[in-house]
Amino acid sequence: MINIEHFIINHFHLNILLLLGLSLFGGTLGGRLFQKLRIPQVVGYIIIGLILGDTFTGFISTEIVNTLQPFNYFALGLIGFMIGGELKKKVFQKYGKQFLIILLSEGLTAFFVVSLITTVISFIIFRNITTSIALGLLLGAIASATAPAATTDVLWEYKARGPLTRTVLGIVALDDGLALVLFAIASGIAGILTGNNESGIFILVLKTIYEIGGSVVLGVILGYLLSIILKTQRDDDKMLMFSIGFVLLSIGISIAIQLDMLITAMTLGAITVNTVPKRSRNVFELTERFTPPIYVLFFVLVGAKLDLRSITWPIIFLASSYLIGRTVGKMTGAYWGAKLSGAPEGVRKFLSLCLFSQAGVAIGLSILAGQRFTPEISQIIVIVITTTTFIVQLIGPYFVKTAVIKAKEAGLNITEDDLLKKSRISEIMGKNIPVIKENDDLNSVLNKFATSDNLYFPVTDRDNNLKGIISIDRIKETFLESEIAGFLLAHDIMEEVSVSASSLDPIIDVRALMDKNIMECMPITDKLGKLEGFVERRQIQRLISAKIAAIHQQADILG
Amino acid sequence: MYFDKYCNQSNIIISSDVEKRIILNNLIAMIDVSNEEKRIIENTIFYREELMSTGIGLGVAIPHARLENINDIQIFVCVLKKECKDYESIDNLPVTTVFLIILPKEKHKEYIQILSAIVKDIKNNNLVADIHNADNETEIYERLMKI
Repeated sequence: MINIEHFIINHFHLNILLLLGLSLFGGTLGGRLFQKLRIPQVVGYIIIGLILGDTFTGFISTEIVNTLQPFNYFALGLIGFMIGGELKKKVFQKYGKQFLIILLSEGLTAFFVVSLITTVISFIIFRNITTSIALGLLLGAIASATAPAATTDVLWEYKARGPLTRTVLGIVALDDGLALVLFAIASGIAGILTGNNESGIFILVLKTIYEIGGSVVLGVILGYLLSIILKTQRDDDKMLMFSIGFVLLSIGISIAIQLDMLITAMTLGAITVNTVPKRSRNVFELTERFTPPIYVLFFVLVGAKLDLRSITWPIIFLASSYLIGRTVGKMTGAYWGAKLSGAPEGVRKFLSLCLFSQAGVAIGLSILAGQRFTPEISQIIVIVITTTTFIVQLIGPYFVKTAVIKAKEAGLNITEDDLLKKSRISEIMGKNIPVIKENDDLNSVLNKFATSDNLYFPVTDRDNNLKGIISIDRIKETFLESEIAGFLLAHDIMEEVSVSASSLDPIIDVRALMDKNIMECMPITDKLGKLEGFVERRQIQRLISAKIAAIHQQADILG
Repeated sequence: MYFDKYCNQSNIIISSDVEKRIILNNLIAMIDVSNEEKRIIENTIFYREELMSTGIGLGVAIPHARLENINDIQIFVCVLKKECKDYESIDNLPVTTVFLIILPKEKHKEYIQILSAIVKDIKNNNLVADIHNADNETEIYERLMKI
């Protein structure tokens, strides 16, 4: 008996791992496929999830999705932490008012429009005014939320930077809180209307204040603790472990004391980035590298969770009205808010395309509504939100992508590594570098060093074949022995080189080659070994820094 | 100081040859390495001579090669009984003494120091006349050891 149980437990765990592998592999493949079709990868992850889920193949059943729920929390925690990392004090001091105006405008407009339209449609379908108003209010409140995950994933994928990106990040970070407040009020009123409110609106408001306030307080405490630890750490691995550990702590404690984990994780990130700005830059970079497989799995599971089999015509009507109302509300609200707050042109024109996404919070609130209200209302809310989540998750990322490209913000948040990967050595190598011939005497060699700021020179034979390199250190050694200067040639003092790069090589590969061979410079040769150019490590650094500064300046010009 | 460290008695030869190619080949033949490695040394030495003669003037030539498969620095000495006139020294005078230096690739600093020390001794300590006055290889070796 024990053996059978043991077998089942082991077998079950193996299946979960197999499914995780399948999800990660399939998700990544789907993501790549969609990327090739110029559609954000997140859509590919969700579709693979949908295929693996109950709607189609049933590989990932609802039970498995529920088993993996902690994993989703972990992903949400990481997403929250990363978004928090974008909430720099300086940005909030400068743009806080603007964010607040836009947030209230887009959130409240979506709330009112969806409430109105869905109440009317519900009344047409159900012919019951109180149920319709309750349903309308709850759907309106849920509609105000914008999912940060899919939105920010697109911003990160397209390396966006600029006023639009900044505003989107600010809004998605804050409107979780707004959605919770609106939902508390809406469910209070709906409870009174439908007779389901046992605790009263006052208690609900208090609970919401506890949820938001408690999350912020917990995030602040954990953020300060993490900052203190990070100040004493130099090792990348340990910094990453502490940061991930704190993200897990923030989620775990939030679940334990019923706080909002996204707000806690975001506050943790925001406190960290503002208390130890320099050290935390490294922490967020490390976390970012750690997150891709977790995000892929998260979105695959989002897709798997969507069950599209229980859709009926009334639901389609209601979902369509919700979708139209939310889209119209978000778009007009975002536009008014941006205009009213005097946001830059890019924000006014394109912010309205960036706030469609809905996921975790919306689904969470719909489930919460399901627990508080009659099955009649709760089932409708869950199905409407699930169905519309599916649609906006598929179209939302595409609109975010279009917006950042149209606002000319894509590619402006490029890091040194991105640029090194993207650029080829031909873009930065000096072609007119002074070359030393191997039969040049020491005086000519010295002359070359004196008239150029290069620390290294390539040495070639008369046919321009690369023969070696002379460094300033070699020259120094020779300089002390003045007796032999008259008959020494470049050939005698050069170092032979066994490695060279091609002008088509990505800079990152050339730099890795330099690291591996402990070289400070790299000759660039053609296939026949003839010298084409020459780069020094400090030149790479200088040119990359200049390029990044120019790209970032481009982002700053946008507003 | 560098001779006692890097030169054995068997590294010294008195030669009656007068042609640069033969003199250099005789010196290379004395190196205790395989024939394949000798060929590499020969190519390296003659490639350097093509770039510019290693005849540094005052009757002295210092051919040299930095090589991959050599463990130690070695100096070979060839004292010529007759003048070698085809060495194309920088002062256009014939060569009477040849110092062949072979050394591992990475010993660049030592290489510069040895070259410099030999040149100093030629200029200041009358090195060439001193070893030309010796009667045989043993005597040359003894005189070199005193430097």
